[in-house]
Amino acid sequence: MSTRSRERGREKKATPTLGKASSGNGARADDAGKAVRFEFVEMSYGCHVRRIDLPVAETPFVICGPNGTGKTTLLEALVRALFGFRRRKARDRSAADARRPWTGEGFEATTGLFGPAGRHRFERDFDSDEVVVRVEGDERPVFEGEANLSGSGASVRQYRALLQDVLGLSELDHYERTACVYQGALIETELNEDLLRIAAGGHADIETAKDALRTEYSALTVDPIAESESKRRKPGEVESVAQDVERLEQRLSEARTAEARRTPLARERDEIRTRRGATDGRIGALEEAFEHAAELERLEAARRASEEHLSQLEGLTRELDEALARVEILEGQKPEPVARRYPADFPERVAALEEGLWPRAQELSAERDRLEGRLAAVSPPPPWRLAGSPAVALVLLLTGLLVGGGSMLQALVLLLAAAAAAFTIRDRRVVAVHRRNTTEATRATEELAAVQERIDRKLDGVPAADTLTLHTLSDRRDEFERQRGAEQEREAAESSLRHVMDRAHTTLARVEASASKMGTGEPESLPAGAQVAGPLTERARDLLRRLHSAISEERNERLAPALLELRKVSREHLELPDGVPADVPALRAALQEARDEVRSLSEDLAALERRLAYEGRPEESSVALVARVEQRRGDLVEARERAAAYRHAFQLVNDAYEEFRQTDQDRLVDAVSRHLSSVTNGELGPLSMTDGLDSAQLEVGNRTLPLESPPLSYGQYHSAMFAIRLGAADFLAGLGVRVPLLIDDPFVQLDEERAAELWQVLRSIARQRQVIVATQDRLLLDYLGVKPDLEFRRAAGSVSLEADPASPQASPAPEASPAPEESSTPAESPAPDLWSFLGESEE
Amino acid sequence: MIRLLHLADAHLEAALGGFGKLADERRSQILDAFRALPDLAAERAVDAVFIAGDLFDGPRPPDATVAVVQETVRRFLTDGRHVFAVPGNHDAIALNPTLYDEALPGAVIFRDPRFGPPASVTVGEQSLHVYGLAYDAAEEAEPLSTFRKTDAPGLHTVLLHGSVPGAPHWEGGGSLPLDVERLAALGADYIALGDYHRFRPPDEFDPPMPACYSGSIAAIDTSERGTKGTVVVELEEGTAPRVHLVPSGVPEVTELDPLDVTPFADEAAVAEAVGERVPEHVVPVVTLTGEPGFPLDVERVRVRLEERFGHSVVGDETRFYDSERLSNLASQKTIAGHVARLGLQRVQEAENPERRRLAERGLRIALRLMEVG
Repeated sequence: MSTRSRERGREKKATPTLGKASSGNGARADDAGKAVRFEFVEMSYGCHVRRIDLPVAETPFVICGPNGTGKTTLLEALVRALFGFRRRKARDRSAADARRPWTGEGFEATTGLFGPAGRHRFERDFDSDEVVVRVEGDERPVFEGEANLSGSGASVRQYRALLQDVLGLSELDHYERTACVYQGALIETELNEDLLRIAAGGHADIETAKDALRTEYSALTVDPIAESESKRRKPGEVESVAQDVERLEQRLSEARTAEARRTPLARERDEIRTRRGATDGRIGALEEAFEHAAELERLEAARRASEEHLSQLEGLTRELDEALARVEILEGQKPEPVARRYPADFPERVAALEEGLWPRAQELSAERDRLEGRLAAVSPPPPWRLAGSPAVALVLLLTGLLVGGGSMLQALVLLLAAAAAAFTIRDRRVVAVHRRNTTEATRATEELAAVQERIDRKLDGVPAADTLTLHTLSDRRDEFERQRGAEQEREAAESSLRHVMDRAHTTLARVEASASKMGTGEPESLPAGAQVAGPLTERARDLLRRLHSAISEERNERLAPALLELRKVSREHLELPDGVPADVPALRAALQEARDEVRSLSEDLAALERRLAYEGRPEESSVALVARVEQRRGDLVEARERAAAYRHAFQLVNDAYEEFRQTDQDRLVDAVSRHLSSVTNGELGPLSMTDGLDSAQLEVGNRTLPLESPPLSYGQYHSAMFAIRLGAADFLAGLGVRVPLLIDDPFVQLDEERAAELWQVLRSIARQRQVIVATQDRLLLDYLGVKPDLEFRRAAGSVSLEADPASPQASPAPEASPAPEESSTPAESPAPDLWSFLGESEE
Repeated sequence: MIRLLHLADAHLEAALGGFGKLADERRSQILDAFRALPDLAAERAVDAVFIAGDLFDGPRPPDATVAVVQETVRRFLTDGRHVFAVPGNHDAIALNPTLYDEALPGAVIFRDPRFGPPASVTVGEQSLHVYGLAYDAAEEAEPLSTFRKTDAPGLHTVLLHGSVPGAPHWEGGGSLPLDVERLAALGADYIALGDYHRFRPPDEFDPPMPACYSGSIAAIDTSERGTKGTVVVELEEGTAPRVHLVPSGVPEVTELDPLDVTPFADEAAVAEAVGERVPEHVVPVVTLTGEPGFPLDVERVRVRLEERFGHSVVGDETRFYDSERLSNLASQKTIAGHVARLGLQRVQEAENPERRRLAERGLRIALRLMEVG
């Protein structure tokens, strides 16, 4: 219990008879503001298609009727006419369907409210949720439009504000948890933080507001809305825009970097262009000089070549002339008769004769002579002797043999036979020798003939061969050498001539080819090297003429023009770049160097152009990016400011709630305590707390009891519950408006005694605000002596109502039954002293 | 007489971030306005079209946009009109050397960073000489010095994208700085300028010169107020050029007088009041003042206006914390009253205007989300 609460509690306790001391119509009623009351309801709602008036009274307006006759429906119609149905809630949609008029009439209700804000008439069409609110004395509606409290549009907000002004609250839920008590709901009343929040919030729910703040804030940033809150992962608008700004700044930086690179690159490129231009100029000069020098060189080369050709041609002419003369001289000498000409192989022939044939012939001749001498010296025996000798020998031999006996005869005969045999052998020998000599002689003769033939062949064609001998051989050889020397000289002359001619042909061909290449001179009619047919000297003379012609041509058509050109293309006219020598190789080298430089510069230039294209060419315009960056930075600032505002709002709500917790629960407790005191005429209360509303206890006399029954009596408990509800309702209304208390069937399950206690409580409350009670317990009302202001009856399947004929509560009903005589109005039934109804306290 | 259609700063495909959800639609409207120029040229019997840069907002517009430009230029050319163009600083040659060639085939594009000889055409019996350059500071820092007017008879005109002193891009922005003395010294019969988004006719130049900024075809951001479009120029030798601004038809950004919201009950009523003060087809710019009796949420007003106008700019200079309604709320002993009371206390105790704004904004948000009002 807070200090302030305790103090107030003690204050209350110090004046326990505050209620009693008052006039009895509720202590400090002014603090609770002014009451607002329902004046009538005109409805086409559920079972009701009628108008019911609710007259001013200081007693509860009692509606009585059996179950199912429309008591609760009537209470609900009063409330729904103001708040309608929340179409987004399934429960409300079902409720709306259940309350659609059975008769098929339009689903609508009109109720009148009279209170501090004046007299208002609320006309609601439940189907369209269109509401028209009129205020007494003003023809134009103060509100006309859609008023479905599920919505949040301006129209709904305006309607809420109107309800707040007229009724003191703008949420059905808040009414139902405070002064609108449906059947059995009273005892479920709790005095806790939730009630406090509803009561204090009026038409706002602090948690809803904080949730909305969190939700809207979370769309802005990941940062927690408060230190106690967790950080989100999903980036919000601030982070997205910050990232966007960062990306744009990065792109801007890149664009600016590229732009910044562009100028030096362009400068560098321009320098290179300038250098390349200068080098191109130098190349032009060098090329000109080179062409000049090259022309000079070409002309000089042509001159040199021409001179060389002339030299060669002249030399060849001379040589040819000499060779021809030599040949002609040799040809002019008396030639050796053919018969006196030695064969070319004369030396070889005579060598063969001298070294082989002639000696052999002599040997063979001597051999033949010797054999012939032998043959001539020994004559062979005549043939007969050759044939008779052996026969004689044989005969003698045979004779001797026949003679036999060793006789002399025989011996003689044998001797004779032997002599004949010896003679025969000798003859045979002589014949053999003769025959051998003859053979050898023949062979020698034949060989001699063969040698002689060979000698003859060797000597064939040799002049005066018959006189050629070993003795004449030397002279003959000299003669041969003379002949051969002359021949060789002539051949040499001719060979030399031919050689010169060949060279002349070659040279002519070269010269003519050169002339042809140079475009001067007519091409040779004959192919180069071709020789004119005919005797050598004739061909030589022809060639000599051609040489003369070529010399003339070379001199006149090539050398002379070259010299003329050379005089024109003088070195004096050669313009050279600085430092370059006036020769073609040097110029060529300088030109090459310059061209290399240009190539290198071109490559550098191309590289720079590429760099300009890629490094020095931003992808985007920095100007456009600047505008976008500024735009997004503005967005970021705005998003951050919004996020800061949300943090501020969250902090504000939190702080306000904390402040509220510190102060308003005390005020709620005070409000409840005041109602307790008022309702119980100071018997109960105040409430006291030790630790928040949940710990609230009720002071009864000098005791502190929990808000439970028992220990509280049933009447005390109901008084406390009513006090809590009414306190919360007042608190909800900012203590400016006292909303009507609607209570449905409060007496269910109560015995007569407790019902009487409750009735007295309601009567007490009815002095401060309108109380509308619905009950089905006719007997209890009778017991309490209460005459219902409105009575519903079930008749023949329909519902009828009956009102006090003295008062115009209800429009005429087809089957209305007369109201009981007993009246509950204060005039008819003065309120008893509350003390007499509080059973336990009574003791 | 020669008639020119002078346009600049179409900024096709600009992000138009300041126009919120209207950006896409507005981009299309600007493109449509550009696409309709051949009809205007025909209607006004224009001889030549001068495009003074920033035709595109960036150097690499979408192909579809380039195609529209190609078709528009083709129509100009088919109708026998000459088209001359210089790039701007948003679509500079240095950024994309081929863009203008691709987008404006057949047009005379001045691509050189220095003045060269004029592009000359014959219109009727008169000669029209057009000089221009594509500014590139890296290539030529002072291109005006390269101008050489020829002695050829006829009208000599100059086409430039640059900024004169006092214009937004005079200091920075990559635009060609145009010294007015040097500009006047060019001796041209007409100087068609681009870059400055406000229409600036010749009589607004000091010293006097036949120069003109056509301004942007349509506002590219909400700070560009008033009528935007293209300029039809009538040129005659020996007389000053006569210029007529022809609106492009793209909704203008229209600034209203501040609106006192004290009498209004909610944002809808405020939006309605704003709507009654401006014609349709504009982008309204309004600053709210007064002491609203409800926690005015400017965003809600903006949303309401957005439903009607596509986009709006709503400034908030209201003083909710001074309102009677808030004072009453603060006197209530509800939590909303607590919030209002504590919020007001924080507003009053704020150390500086910035904190004060924050405190008031926070209070409004808190009350709005508590559905107070």
